[in-house]
Amino acid sequence: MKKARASLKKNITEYARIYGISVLAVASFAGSSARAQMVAAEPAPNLTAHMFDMGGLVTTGAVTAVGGAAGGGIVPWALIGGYTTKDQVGGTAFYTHVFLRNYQLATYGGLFALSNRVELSFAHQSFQLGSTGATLDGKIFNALGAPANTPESVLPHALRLDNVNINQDIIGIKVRLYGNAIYDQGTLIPQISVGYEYHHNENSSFTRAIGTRPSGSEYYIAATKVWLNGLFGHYTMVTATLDATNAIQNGLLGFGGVGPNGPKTGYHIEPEFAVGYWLNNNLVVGGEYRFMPHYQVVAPGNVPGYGPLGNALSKTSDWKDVYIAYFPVKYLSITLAYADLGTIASEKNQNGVYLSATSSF
Amino acid sequence: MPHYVKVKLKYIVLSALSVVTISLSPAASRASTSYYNAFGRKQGLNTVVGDFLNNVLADSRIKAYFTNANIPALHAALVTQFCMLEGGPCEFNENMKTVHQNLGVTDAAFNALAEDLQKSMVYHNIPLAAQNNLLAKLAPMEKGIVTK
Repeated sequence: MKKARASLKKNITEYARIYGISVLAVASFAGSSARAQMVAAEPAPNLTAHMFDMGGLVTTGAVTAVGGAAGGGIVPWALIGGYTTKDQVGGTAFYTHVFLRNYQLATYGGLFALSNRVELSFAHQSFQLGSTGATLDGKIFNALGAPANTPESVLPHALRLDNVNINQDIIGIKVRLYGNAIYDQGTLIPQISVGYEYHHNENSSFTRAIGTRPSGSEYYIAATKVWLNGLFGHYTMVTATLDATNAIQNGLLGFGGVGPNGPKTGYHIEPEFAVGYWLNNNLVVGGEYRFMPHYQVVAPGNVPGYGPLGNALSKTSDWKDVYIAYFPVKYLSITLAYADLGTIASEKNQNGVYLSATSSF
Repeated sequence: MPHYVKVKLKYIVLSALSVVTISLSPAASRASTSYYNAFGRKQGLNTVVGDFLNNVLADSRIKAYFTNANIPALHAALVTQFCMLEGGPCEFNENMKTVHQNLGVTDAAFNALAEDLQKSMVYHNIPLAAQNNLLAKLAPMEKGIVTK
């Protein structure tokens, strides 16, 4: 047993030396945290009751994406959060909790909106591994050929995952470049905004252990079109966003990845889509789809032992959700969603209920 | 998911959204007398506009704009304008920009007004599609009305 431990430690250290990374399994977690952002980080305009409020007509001001920006659950929209006009400031605060099959994602944050032009946002995400962390440790041992019952303490501290929370902070800025989604009617021209998000993963020893960077940047351009007299005469919204990112699971598993010749940090451009349909002035239903980039973590797939482990932890799925948002009043929204984040850190079918509340002021 | 499947999926999503977008575009120019009828024609519009103006004159955010307004004339003008916008047999030719140029209307005031109108339409149970059609016709006037 002692011998097995010593050899596992040696393996890990050696690999870390060769590839300049600390190995293991954590990579898959990161993926989930990235999407966690979806839950909390993007303060969306209030989806609900008065999406647009021509000053309050449409309940758009009170919904927030996980990244903190105004938007849906996982996709930032071109709308500026809150209900500000060109001579006002405002903001929103939100809390989102996602109950996945193996994990939970808790996110809180808020945004400041200036003159319906600029949105400054913040979100803190906590991706909770729970008892699945121990399962992941078992998978790591298994991949490294350690005998059953090998104690967790054999693993480097950064890879002891039982009940670990992976935390991420996201700050963002969004600027409306063109158009006004509410006032521009009778034309196909959308409201267009550009955004930037800086992500910082607090579990840097974990991200380094799986060969990813603890912080990264995302750049996006979003177009949102709202028809006040849309399908069957109801408010109807379509958003298309292009996101340049190297975040793995939205940054929960870090940024960049490993390549055959060392770290690989190249950006991927991924599209994101959202639709919303107002059943009445207080109730919005819709769906979102976010394509996710794929990065290899831990080690290249052809490295014996570590490669297969890396392949398993690297698996990333597109994020999607269907939601219903209720605006009891213009300044408050409660969103219930069913989110499907796919495979995160080798655990498949990470879907479940998403609950979120946003208040605007 | 294999890469080629993912790429294919991207195109499918894009095409589906294009279809939604294209099918929505005619909605913007839809005008039929059914909306006018949904308001209860001239008589229904009279009632909705009456309550709308009551809301406005009681709205501390915007009532100051109407201190010197001729309310009966404004009432008649709004009924005629809404009648035309909802596809009714009315002609309304006043230039919104000229009428509002000296009022210093802000976006916040414009929005508050729209809210007061919406409140009246909801109170009188005007069908949602007719409400939204009127709002969609009024919203683009923000460019001419708001000067501040």
